[in-house]
Amino acid sequence: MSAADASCRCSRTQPLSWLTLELFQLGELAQDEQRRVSSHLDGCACCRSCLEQIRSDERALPPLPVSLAREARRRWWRSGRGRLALTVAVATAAAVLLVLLLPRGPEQPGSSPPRRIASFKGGELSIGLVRERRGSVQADPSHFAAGDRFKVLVTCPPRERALRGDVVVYQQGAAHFPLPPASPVPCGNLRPLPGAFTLADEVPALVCLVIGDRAPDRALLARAGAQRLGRAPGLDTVCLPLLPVH
Amino acid sequence: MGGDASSRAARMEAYRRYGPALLRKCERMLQSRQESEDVVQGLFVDLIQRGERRFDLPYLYRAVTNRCINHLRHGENRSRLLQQHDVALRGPVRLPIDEQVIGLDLMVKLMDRLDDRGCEVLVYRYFDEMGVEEIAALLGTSRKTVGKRLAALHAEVRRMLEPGPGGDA
Repeated sequence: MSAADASCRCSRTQPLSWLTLELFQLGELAQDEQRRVSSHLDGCACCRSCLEQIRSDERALPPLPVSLAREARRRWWRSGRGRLALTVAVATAAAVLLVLLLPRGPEQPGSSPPRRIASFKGGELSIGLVRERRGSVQADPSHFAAGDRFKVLVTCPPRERALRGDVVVYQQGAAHFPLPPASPVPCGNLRPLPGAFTLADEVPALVCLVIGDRAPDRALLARAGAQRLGRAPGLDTVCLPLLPVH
Repeated sequence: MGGDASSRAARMEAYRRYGPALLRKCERMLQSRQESEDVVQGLFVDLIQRGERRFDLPYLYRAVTNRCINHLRHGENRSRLLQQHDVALRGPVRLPIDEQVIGLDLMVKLMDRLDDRGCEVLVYRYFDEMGVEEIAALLGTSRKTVGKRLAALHAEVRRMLEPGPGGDA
């Protein structure tokens, strides 16, 4: 508890609430309520200064990572046709991959970096990115330039126990951890992880989300590298590549 | 498709129109600009993806209040915010209790002792500075019920401020 040094005294018993002041500022109060608020403000310097604070608070909203295409995809997915189409597509792709990869022999399972979507505890885990570049927002970016800011979106089936997650970025074999460690993962559809990050080096990057019931061990993730990340025990991983703009 | 586009435009407009008010409200509670942005952004992303059609400010105020309460109940968020919060974001306070402002530290302690509705009442009264009638209308309950909750809340605050084993003072 702190002393009320930032306080001011309303001239009435009940000050105008912040919600009322916001609605007044937006012109969304009923006419009689608008009059009542105006009259209160006329005689109350304290509430007037609060309204002034709202009016002078100019700020840029964080970008909202929802595109029409994404929404349409979501509805298509929910309709069931999306799931059927994906199943067919995945099965076809798997068959083609099998044919292509089998003759090569020496390739070991798990030696390629994890993909964007993985099956996960009765559902799917997927990673998405939103890029902000000089105020313009791009969902699902494939490239990055200096100064770009990224947010990670996660899709996973809701769970009773909170999961722990970490974002690891691999560039030229080195692992970077751009977000706070062991963030709680808010399972749902395209849920943003807390925080945002930028990429410094102009070399290809692989952005991976690693989640588990316990906090992923960063040293382990750094040692594993992108190729063996999918083998980390007790952890699920999805990754997205980003290429630098030259 | 035209309907989808127009409803999406309406939702984006709601974000543009009400987002700043919700950010200010979150900042009073969380006292962190970054985490408030994350909470408000997460709320709108969920609402849009759910196809939510109701976007009036009182409804969003309540939704974001519950998000902030859940955010603060999470142990790691709580310790991080207690260490890093910016007191200036609490803003001017017109409704102190016994000349004291309810800050982040007391709020999270109270949240451990209150049920969900009690936490909401705490926030509406001492962070949004609503009157009993306004809280009752927002919660869809009676003034009498809100009055009882406020009385219990005041008793809890005074108990916590008392010197001795039960209090924090």
